[in-house]
Amino acid sequence: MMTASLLAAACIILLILVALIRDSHRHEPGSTKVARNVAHQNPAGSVPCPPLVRQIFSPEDFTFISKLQSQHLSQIYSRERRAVALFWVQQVSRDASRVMREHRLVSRRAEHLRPSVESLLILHYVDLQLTCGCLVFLIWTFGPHPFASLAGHAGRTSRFMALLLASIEAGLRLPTPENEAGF
Amino acid sequence: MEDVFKSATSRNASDDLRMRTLAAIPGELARLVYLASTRDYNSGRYHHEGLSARFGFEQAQKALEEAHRAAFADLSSLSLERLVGELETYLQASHEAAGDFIATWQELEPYRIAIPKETDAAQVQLFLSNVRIGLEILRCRQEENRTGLPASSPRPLPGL
Repeated sequence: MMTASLLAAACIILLILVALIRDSHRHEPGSTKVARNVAHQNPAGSVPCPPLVRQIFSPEDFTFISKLQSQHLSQIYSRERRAVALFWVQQVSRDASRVMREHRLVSRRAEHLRPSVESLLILHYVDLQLTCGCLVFLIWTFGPHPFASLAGHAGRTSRFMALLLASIEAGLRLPTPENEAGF
Repeated sequence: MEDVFKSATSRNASDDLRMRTLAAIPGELARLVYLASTRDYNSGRYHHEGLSARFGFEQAQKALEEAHRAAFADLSSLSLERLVGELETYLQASHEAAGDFIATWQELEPYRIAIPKETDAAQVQLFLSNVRIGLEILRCRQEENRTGLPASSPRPLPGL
């Protein structure tokens, strides 16, 4: 009970922080223009859901199997599709961790970091990992099909992070021998 | 200029492959299997004598690789119902006994080698899973047709 309440409170605080950071980012002078454009013109909600997510989580295949009226086939389908859905979720989570690790290494060498953009990236990363964690539990327990929209959110957040990272890293000025020598 | 020429030649090789060869092959699955068969298992390079003679080895290789990826993308994006239809079409075109075909495909999983290189892992998993389910559906249908009764003795699927 205590743990669930703490988890819910943490999620609410994170959502508030995301909203605040997005709001402050509009007013921060000198923010990377490209990163700002990505954050505002392509918020995670408007990034299209990857087609693969729709395929895995869509009820269309489930409906087809149900119409066959075979318990044996339904069991096989349920087991197979659950495994594929979990594979996808774990892949998304792993890929996000990997790109964040790489970004950390790149940004350590960068001369100009934009804290609000970096914070936005971190918050989306935490959002994504929390969503993936929830999805793993929910898919294991109930199967993938009731959670198409949550999976879609994970897919869009993953894509949005990729766009944001690309724009951040395009805008980062990395030290070169000429810079370091003062030329 | 050279890139434009190469791109145009590659497009011509792709068009030639599509119109002369792939158009004659019925079904998405059959086209995928054919394109996969042009790939060398050891090197991963594609070979097609006629296409290479007309457009050169590199352009032919590029056209085959692109066609292979496109065929896999098309097939793997099909719904389960349509994939079962493709399996049935392929089965009928093979002129093999249905029982033998299904048993062999379920045991050996030859469709694994039809997957192009560097394909998204989750997309691959979905494709393999759907083919396994599709084969089991066909097996149950075949058993029902043979006995007139619903299939009651499920075979254990390899890998599960």
